[in-house]
Amino acid sequence: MISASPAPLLDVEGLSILLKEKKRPDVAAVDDVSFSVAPGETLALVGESGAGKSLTALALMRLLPKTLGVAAKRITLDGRDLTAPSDNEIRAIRGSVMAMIFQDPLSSLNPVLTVERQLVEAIRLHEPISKADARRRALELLEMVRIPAAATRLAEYPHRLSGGMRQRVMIAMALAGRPKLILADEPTTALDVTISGQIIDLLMELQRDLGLGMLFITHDLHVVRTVAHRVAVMYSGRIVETGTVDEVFATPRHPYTEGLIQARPHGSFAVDGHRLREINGTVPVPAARPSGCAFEPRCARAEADCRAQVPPLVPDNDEGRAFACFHPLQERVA
Amino acid sequence: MLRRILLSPSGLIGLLLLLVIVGMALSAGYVFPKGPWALVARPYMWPGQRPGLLFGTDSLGRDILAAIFYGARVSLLVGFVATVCALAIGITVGAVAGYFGRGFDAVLMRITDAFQTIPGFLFAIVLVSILSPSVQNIVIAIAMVSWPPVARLTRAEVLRVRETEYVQSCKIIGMSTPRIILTQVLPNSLSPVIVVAAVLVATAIITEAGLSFLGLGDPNVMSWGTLINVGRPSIRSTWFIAVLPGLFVILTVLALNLLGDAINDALNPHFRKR
Amino acid sequence: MTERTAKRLAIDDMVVEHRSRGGIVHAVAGVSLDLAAGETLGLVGESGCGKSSLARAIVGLNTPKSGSIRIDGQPTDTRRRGAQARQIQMVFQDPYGSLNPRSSVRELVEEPLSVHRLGSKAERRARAKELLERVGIPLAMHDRLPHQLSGGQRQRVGIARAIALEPKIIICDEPVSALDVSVQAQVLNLLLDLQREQDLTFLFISHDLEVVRYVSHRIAVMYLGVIVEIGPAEGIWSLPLHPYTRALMQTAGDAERVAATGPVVKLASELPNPLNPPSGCRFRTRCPLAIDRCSRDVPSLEDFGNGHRVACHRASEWAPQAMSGAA
Repeated sequence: MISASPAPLLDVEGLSILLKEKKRPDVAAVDDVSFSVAPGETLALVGESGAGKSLTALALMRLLPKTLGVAAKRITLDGRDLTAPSDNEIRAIRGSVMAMIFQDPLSSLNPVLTVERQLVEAIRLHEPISKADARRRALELLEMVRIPAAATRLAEYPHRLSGGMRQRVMIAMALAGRPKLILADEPTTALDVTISGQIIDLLMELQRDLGLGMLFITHDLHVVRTVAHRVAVMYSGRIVETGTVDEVFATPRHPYTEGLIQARPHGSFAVDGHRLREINGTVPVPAARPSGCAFEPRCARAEADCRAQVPPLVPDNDEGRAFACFHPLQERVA
Repeated sequence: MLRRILLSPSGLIGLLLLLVIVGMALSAGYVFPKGPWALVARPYMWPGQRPGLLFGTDSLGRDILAAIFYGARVSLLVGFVATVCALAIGITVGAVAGYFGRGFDAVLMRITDAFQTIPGFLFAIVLVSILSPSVQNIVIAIAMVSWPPVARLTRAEVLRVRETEYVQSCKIIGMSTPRIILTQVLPNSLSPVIVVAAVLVATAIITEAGLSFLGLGDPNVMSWGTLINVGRPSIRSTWFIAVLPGLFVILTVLALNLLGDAINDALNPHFRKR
Repeated sequence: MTERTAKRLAIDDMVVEHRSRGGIVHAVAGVSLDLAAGETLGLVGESGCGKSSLARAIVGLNTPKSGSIRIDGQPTDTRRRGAQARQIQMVFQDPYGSLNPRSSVRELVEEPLSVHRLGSKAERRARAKELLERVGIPLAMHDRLPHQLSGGQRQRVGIARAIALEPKIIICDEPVSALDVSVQAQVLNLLLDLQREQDLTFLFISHDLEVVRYVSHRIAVMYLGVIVEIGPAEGIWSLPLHPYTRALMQTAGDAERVAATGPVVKLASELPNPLNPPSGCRFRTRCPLAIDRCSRDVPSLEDFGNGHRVACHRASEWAPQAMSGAA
């Protein structure tokens, strides 16, 4: 277990993303979120749609449109201060220190350029090497992401590749600048089960071999269990619970975390009379978020204080376990 | 929808202009009870030369303003009726070709291609000179050449909507094919056609004016094109006889184009959230 | 299930072809399935395996090239017109695309009733209200348009529309895949409650193995147009016999438990070109356990007892003795 690592690779403190709208006060789509990722560690950001997971990753890459305001108390990446980076700083870091893998590889690859052109371009953006060397490196990268017959694939156009192959090419592109941190935004959601298993295996291997830090964004709890060391559960723009994957899954303290886990069948059969635990209602949009705990309207344990104020994320132990709930579930005695 | 059109400046201007012209067409009989052919003063009087003759008189001494008022009737009538006919043909052809596909599609689209290759204005000239030059025949000629783009557009949209899950869901509940086309497919396919319709009206008005200018218009009605034709010989001296009706053709076409743009923007979801 | 009564839904040797640019694809290449009343058959497989083509053929959206569909022993015509349309309905995956964006929620649920001229206008209205309330759409939302509802609510409207005609069979095509986890549970519970109340038969298609296992009595695994394994959910889950099923189960959860019951199968490559399926066993090109025989002979579904049938030449090697003995 990688728990007490000395210096985190990525350290984010108090990140907020504001939706700036005319005539109305700003609404925080992501509200005061803090987390860190150590080298060689995977942190999973898990939550439902509208939780703010993808926005968080895009904010780190500074890929958000100007209509969204990003504010943070502190962001450091690999020893650099990125709290308020200039355009040049962020360009230097994008791809070379921190790279992103998206959900839909087809729309993130250029359809009119061959795989080789795109890879060579990405490589030469970060390293001043000759075209021939860049081509050699492109081939290496494709082999690294285990594309069979890599040499022939270089000349292909993205639409000629299958979904799994495209995602491998995307990963190769992300690795082109030898980054230290990978932001993976639902990289397997669009893929079939068998293919997504392959991609996850590949990502975990690459991470081990290259010592990458990874921020893995997903809605799939099963994937979280497979890939992540630590997990942060997001609900309506806030982190409601965080800790090691084993701890959080074994003894969830926040009712939402428990609800998410219980909503999945986990090997039960409806035939045996088992009924899935429902969470009533839906995730509120940021503008309609209740003033207190955002989960309060859907929560069976809610009381008056939950409506009155937002519960802070309180540390529970020294290993980074924390949850934001006034009436947490009791820790089970093992 | 209407509110969204009115909120955009082009929609508002277009709609106001069009309303003015429609108002002129409707009120022509009340404002000028003597009709457009009546001789009211001596010929070639400049606008404002005599009070009551705001736009002056033409080569025979007819009131140009009256001619323009009555001309609006013809222009709008031809424009709208021809467009309605073109829409009826085009939507039917496009919907059948798009929904049923295969043989229907192949045959109907080749016919559409054939019509689309015909130069519209020349075809109208030929048709009107073979038949007699009446408003009815002009409408037919214009409708015949303007339905192909409607058919193409409808077909493309129907092809898209036909594959949606809500259409399939209607097949599964056992809905009949005509009902699916009429209640599910067409209502969700026609927004781009509405935009084109506005432009079609404008094109039809220009075609009608063109025909009348060439003397192929209906001799029994006063059209803007007729008036332009009347003013043509004396364009160097009394240019206003041709220019004033020309101005109204331009204004009407402009109004319709502005309106078309505004409808397009209003229907386009990407522009809604601005 | 020892009674040998006519099955609620019986599909016999169904073949569905699609024309594509490269030639003819046999999307469904000879599939036979039986579903009893009140039963859920889970159908799993990768995209492109033909499960959607099969579903569309069953509801009459595709015309199968050959094969028959019987409901309660009665043959059906493939276009499923008139009264037959009422017996099989479908719940779609995409709650955004499966409802006409211009119809109100109430109109959407009244529509199937008006198509079949059931009751007067007022009766239909009352029935739609009742149906919507049954699926949990509050009265205040009955006049809303689909885009004003959340994904879960839209899926509920889709379900109300499907049950409006009191069908015997519902094809559920990935009904919860597009929904958030917390909403998935609501919709699954609703479907299962309705099944119990109305003795519905479900063909439940999903790529989410955990969900399929949860809802299904039996599971069928499809690969490149054919069924490679079918049997009781518990049997398939605890002891997957086909290498492809084993590979799927490993990705879906207890890798350890799968490993304890036979060979571990890791799929390296992707689905081969369906225009030109491999000879013999269609799975052999991706199967690490393939032997010579697999390229020659097409394996047929063999019974390993308790209705657990597998199409694999080598399955008996790792099937427990008790099971293969029962065959």
